[in-house]
Amino acid sequence: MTTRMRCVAILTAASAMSAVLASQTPAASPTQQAPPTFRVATDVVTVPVFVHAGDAAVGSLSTADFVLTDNGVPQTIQRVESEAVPTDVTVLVETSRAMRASMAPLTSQAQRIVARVQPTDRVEVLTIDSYVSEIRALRSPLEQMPLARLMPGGMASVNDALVLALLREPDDQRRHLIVAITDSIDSMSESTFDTVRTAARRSSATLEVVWQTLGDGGAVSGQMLRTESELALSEQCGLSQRCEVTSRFFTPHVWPPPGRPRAAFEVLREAAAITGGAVHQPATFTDQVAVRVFERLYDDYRHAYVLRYAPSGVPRAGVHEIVVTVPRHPSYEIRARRSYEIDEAPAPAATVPAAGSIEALMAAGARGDDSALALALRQPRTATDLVRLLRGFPDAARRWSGDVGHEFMLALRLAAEGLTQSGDARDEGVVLMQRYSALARQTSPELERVWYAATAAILDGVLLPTVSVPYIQHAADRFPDEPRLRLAQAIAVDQKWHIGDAAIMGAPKDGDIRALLELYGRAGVAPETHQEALVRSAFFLHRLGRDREALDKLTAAGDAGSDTSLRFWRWLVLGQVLEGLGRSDEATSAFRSAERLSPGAQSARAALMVQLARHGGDAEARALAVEIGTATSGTDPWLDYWVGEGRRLSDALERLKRYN
Amino acid sequence: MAAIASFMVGGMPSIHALRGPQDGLPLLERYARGEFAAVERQLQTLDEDGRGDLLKMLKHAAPSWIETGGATDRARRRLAAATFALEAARAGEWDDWKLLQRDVHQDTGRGGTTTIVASDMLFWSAAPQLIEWGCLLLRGAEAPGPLELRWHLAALAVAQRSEDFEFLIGSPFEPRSDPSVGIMHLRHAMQRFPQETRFRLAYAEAFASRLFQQPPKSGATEAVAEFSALIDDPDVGGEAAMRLGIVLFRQRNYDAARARMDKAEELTRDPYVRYLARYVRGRILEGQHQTVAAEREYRTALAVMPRAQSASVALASLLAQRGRREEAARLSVDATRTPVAVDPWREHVHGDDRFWPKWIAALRAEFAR
Repeated sequence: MTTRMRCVAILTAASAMSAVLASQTPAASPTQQAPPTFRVATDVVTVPVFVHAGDAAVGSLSTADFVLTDNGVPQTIQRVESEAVPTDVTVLVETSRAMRASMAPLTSQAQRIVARVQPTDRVEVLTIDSYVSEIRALRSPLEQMPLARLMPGGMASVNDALVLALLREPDDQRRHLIVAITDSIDSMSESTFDTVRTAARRSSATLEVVWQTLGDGGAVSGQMLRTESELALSEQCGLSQRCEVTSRFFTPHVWPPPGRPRAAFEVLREAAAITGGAVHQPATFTDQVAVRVFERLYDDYRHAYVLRYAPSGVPRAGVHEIVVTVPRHPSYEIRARRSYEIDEAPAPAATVPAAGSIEALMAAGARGDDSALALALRQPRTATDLVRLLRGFPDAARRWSGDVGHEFMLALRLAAEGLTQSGDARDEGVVLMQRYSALARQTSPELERVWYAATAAILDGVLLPTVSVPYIQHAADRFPDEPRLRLAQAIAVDQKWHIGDAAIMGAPKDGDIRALLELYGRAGVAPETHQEALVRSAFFLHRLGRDREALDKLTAAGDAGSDTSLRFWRWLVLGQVLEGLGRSDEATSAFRSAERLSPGAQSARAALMVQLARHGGDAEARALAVEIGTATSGTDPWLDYWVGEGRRLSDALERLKRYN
Repeated sequence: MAAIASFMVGGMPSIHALRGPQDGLPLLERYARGEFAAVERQLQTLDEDGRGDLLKMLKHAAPSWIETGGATDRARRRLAAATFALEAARAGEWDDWKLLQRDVHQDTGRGGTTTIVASDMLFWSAAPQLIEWGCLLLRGAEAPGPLELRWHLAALAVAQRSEDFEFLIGSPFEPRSDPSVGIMHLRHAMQRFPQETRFRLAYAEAFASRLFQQPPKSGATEAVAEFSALIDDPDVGGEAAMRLGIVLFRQRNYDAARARMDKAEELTRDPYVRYLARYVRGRILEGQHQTVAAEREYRTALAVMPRAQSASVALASLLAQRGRREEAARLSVDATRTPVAVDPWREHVHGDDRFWPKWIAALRAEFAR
């Protein structure tokens, strides 16, 4: 056996309690038919067994007295003392709106049950409404805080609660008793009584269900079961012909529905019986309240025999019928579990994605491993491979379970790979980006905002104004309060007349110039983009020969701020503008300021060298030329000028990745 | 009417914490000053009578209180009062919004034929009337603007949480003895903001939510048509596809339901929508005995909404059946640990209630400045 098997079986003999139960539950299994509660650790099954002779528990049996068969095959058993096996108690209390008239007694009963649990055992309390909530975690009753009055509300997820309780396995070495105080009328769960029965077959627990108000309503209803509130409504309608009904329409179902026959609960009774438990119904002249039922069961439970056996001679998988008998005392009565079921299915094998596949890309993204991701992005060896990846990504990503931010970051990085290519790969890059823009819009405004910030950074950076201008314009229209998108839009438009596309676009016309200056103007309204918009509009004006206007912009921009690149650009542009205005000394000074801000930057050195050469500083110009030719160049902020928002790409991707 | 009064009180453990309508105005003033938590707490103690008194106060005293602010403060006070009404309406979470008194009587037709007619008399409780009061206050004041839109989105959250579709779309199918008492709140919102597709989505959902009633009633055709018309919408298409999928799932049209759930995941990464798409696909697959595929769906659902109980129960049950008891037990314990995780399946009829924290925070920020 490769996986653990764990079950519990209970056998009870006749007692005063079981006599009462027998009158209220379906016919019990034949005498000495022993459905065990069993626990199996690796290949050992542990079976608590209750044996009674009349009202008295039988406590003097030895291992040799018991015969246990598993699917008809006799097993070798050993006995352990029952008192040595502690018990975990799960108390389920229904607090749905249907129970609102019973909150005080329900609270009291739950509290009293907790108080009766022995210090060596543990207890937890869960409530059942639309949700199942653990209001007291599993621990010793000595450590439990008193329960506050339970509050009613919501639908009743009774079946889900029973399944969840049955599937809990608090501890291998302890028995598990579930007491569910509920009317067993479900109005929310997707689980059914059948699901509960299936869970019971796999469970190590003993399930006892104690109905709170559900009953036969006196002599009127015969075999029909109704809750107290249903009975009251029925009487009202019958008397007046005018029924007050409530308006709460969302009730996924009411199961079993009103007019329910006793037989409607047969599967639930069977589920409880499988575990060795029962369904207990309130009845006139009995004290079948939960706390009384619990006291009797718990006392029996704590005095059970515990048998252990290692199953042999039977296949592990499938249904196991267990029968425990005491042949030398055939009059002893035993009530307990009838079967358990094991269905072994192999866990799906993990697969290693092939290099260059979408799966490899997603796996790298899921791990948050940037170097693996970069490698995966470089894996496509041909444009065709890249196109395949770009086309296949959305479908693969749809079923991905990683963070949304990671997925969008991956999509953008993959799209960027396409954008740096030509032909189909570029087109597919654009398609992927547009597709994720639509996805972001339907996901959340917050995601859409960070997505557009990142895409604007990518698009400014790839210098493809024919692609980026309409895209970023759309982004800026979606988020008119986002100044960096307005700035990115202006930069993308500005790129039309400076880089590769100039030959296609030609020189800007008057309308183009006005439009771009207006874009920079709008981008410069916000404080965070004010300075950069002025510097960029100044450089645009300088390229048009409008240096006086450019100077005004640069003067307005000022030299303040912590953005060193921006200040560098300003000094560099200022030098060119001043030179254009014939103010050579001031231009030289501006270039020197730029060089001081970023020592070693080639653009500043070259500008200064040309300026000095023009205006009589030949020696210094020659020295600079040598330095430019031989020295290792430092960081040059000018290289970032035309990538616009692309200089913020790392931050933008990080923000995107963090979105969740 | 005694029966109505007792119904409205509803036996809930709330108290009538106002001594009369006069107590409401100071509460409104405190709210408008930004004492949100304290006022919210007090609103939660009100019973139906208390909310009724609040409504009376708003009707009689709020207009002059708003005018007292003068031209500079009028709009802020108006928004505060309308939002206060919303908060009061939302406070009685589990109180019903209306009483339906079933009336069976004889109706003698022209030919002297006597038939038995069953119709319901409808009595609205204070909560929906509080919302309608706020709605009237805002729509009567000025042209529709972004603040009023936020208020309407918040009002929709409250209304959908109440699970009373009739408040939103009236009574197209239910026999009512006096149809004029219908409110049809969504009509007001859609007239003011015809471009807001969340209202159209809510309109469709109102039809869908009535399908939960026992026994099933008509409305499915309308729900399918309304959701279908929204699938291409760039803002709510994914959610419309998913909600259409749920209707189809309820109708046992499983192939069509799966196709809509696939479409939903093509259109959005909203975790709420994804969870529901995956969970419902899991249910369908499990019903078709494709347990491995169903398990995968439940796992991916839980990946976007960890610990949600519907998928946790489904997955734990599947795992237990396949002998993987330890993981099933772990799922069970995680799913019930408090605070329990919001479960989109259990909440999906509450529609835009999931956006309530966002909208109410935005509204409060507007008038508390």
